[in-house]
Amino acid sequence: MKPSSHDLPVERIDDVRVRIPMSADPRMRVEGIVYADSELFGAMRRDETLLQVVNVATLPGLVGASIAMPDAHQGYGFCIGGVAASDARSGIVSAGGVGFDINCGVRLLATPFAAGEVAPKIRELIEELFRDIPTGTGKSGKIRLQPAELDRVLAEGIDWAVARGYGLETDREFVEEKGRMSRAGQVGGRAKERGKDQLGTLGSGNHFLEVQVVEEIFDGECARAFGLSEGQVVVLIHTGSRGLGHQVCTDALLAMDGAMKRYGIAVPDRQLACVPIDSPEGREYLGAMGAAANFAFANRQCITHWTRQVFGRVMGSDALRVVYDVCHNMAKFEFHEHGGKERELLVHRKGATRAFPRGRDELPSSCRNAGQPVLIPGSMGTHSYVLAGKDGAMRETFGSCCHGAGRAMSRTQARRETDAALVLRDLAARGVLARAQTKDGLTEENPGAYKNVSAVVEVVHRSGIAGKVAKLKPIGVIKG
Amino acid sequence: MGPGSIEILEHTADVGFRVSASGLEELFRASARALIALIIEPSGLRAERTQNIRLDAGEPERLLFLWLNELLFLLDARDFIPAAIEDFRIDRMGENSWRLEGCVRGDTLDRARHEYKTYVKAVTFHRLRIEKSGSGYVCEFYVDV
Repeated sequence: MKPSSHDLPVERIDDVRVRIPMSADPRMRVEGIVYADSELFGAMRRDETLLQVVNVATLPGLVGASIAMPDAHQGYGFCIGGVAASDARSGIVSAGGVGFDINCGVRLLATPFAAGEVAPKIRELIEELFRDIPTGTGKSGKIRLQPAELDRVLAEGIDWAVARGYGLETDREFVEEKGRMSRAGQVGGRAKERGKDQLGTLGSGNHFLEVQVVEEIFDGECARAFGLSEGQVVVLIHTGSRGLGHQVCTDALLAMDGAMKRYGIAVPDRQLACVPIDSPEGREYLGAMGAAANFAFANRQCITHWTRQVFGRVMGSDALRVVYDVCHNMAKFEFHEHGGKERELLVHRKGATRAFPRGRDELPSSCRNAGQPVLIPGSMGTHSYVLAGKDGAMRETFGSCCHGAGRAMSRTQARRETDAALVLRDLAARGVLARAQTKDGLTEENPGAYKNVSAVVEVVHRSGIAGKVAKLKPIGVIKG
Repeated sequence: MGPGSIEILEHTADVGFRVSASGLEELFRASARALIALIIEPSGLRAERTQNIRLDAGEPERLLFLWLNELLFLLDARDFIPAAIEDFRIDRMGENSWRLEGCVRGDTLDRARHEYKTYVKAVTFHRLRIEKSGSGYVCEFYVDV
């Protein structure tokens, strides 16, 4: 009989790290390492997060450990907040290790305004953002792509958007992968059909656009490198590849599920379906994943452009600068030191963020002495954080960090325990003006449904993976 | 879309269903009903459009995965909301061969008429199972919201 999360044997390494030894399950090929203090770990014991860390540890070709970040919670297959790296030549790729929302990610924009300048116009700002930036579902998008044009989006990512006037040439330097995955390949017809009218849409669920104020600076040097200062108004955009990415993952899961037996692979959860990286199915998925990632980069770029336009009309300036744009559902080929030598690995980050330290060539020159900006959105109405990647991430987590607050409550429970009117009143009491397309968009995403993001960030900071730079307080939000 | 009992399963991030029915076709119909009811308020849907569906899979679980994800595709890509299923059949064509055929009648998504409740990205393989239960069937599946 398989153990539950409650019964899983674990060893606390220190106040922020817990090991799940390979003896916990005979099928484990690597150990599990969970970043959590005792309270966060207790929450992980209550659902199947830890079992899912163990399940990932059974995948062939994994290097190092199956890792869970402090915001980790139960997902399907991989836990959300999970990191797993496999050898680029002999290892596997798992579509479920990236997730349905390929390149769901976060972009932070810095405005030239202080809180006092925006406060009197926040209602107008939120109303115009809600009007101009498509949210929710259905044919709400403003961009309709013909097939050849969609193919260009999939191949070029941010470059497509910038070439067509959505944003600035200088934006791309501050986007992970410079906003364009180089190995983008073919995407199936169904994914294209879903995506062709969805470019430039926020979506729904936990996607949002928030207007925020920099409430506190923890690291002045890094904040200056990122162009952030106390009292400054910023905008945080959270969205991904929409229906196109979801279909790419669905198609790949079917292919991998069907092909696994041929490669002699069996998995404890079918959602972990995987194939060798060096296989037709693996190469096809990675190409499609890259294309879907490019769609998401272009998506956030279009939304950036419209956000600038709204600020221009309402506030008199559209000079919003991209601080950084991070992915938190992705698999990337990266070089990491392991076992005393440098190896090329495929790093799966499922609800986890890349967090490269200072000195890395991938970073914009202005951030190279500070480390990569790591953007950690809190739940709706709560604080978000900006961190900077540290050397600890490269030593321990394949250059990875958490991605957000992590859910603590099921959606059905959240709907039972509150209603949209209550959530709006609660947000207003926190000084947050909200506009949402659906009631579920408020009730399921209410702050009470999430873990304490500050506690999550504290663990990350204490572990040396990434350091706190700034704390952001929301003053307005739009969502689907 | 057919009888069958539906239970919602708790999951921290997503939503799961346990569906029971007297036969396989009813199971698939009821699963579709559960999925659509999660997404959109089902009362008042018009059966004005038609989508003919034919799906093949090597086992019933993959067939269920294909069926439910097909409905999500129609909704997301074509604004097609399933309202009724006609001429629905599931046949075992061979040892590892199952076929689903049906005519799905539905409405066109219109925000003025329809209450869109929850966007579902996909139906997952996580704990997807179909089992005989007594004289009928039970299935479980989880969706990514």
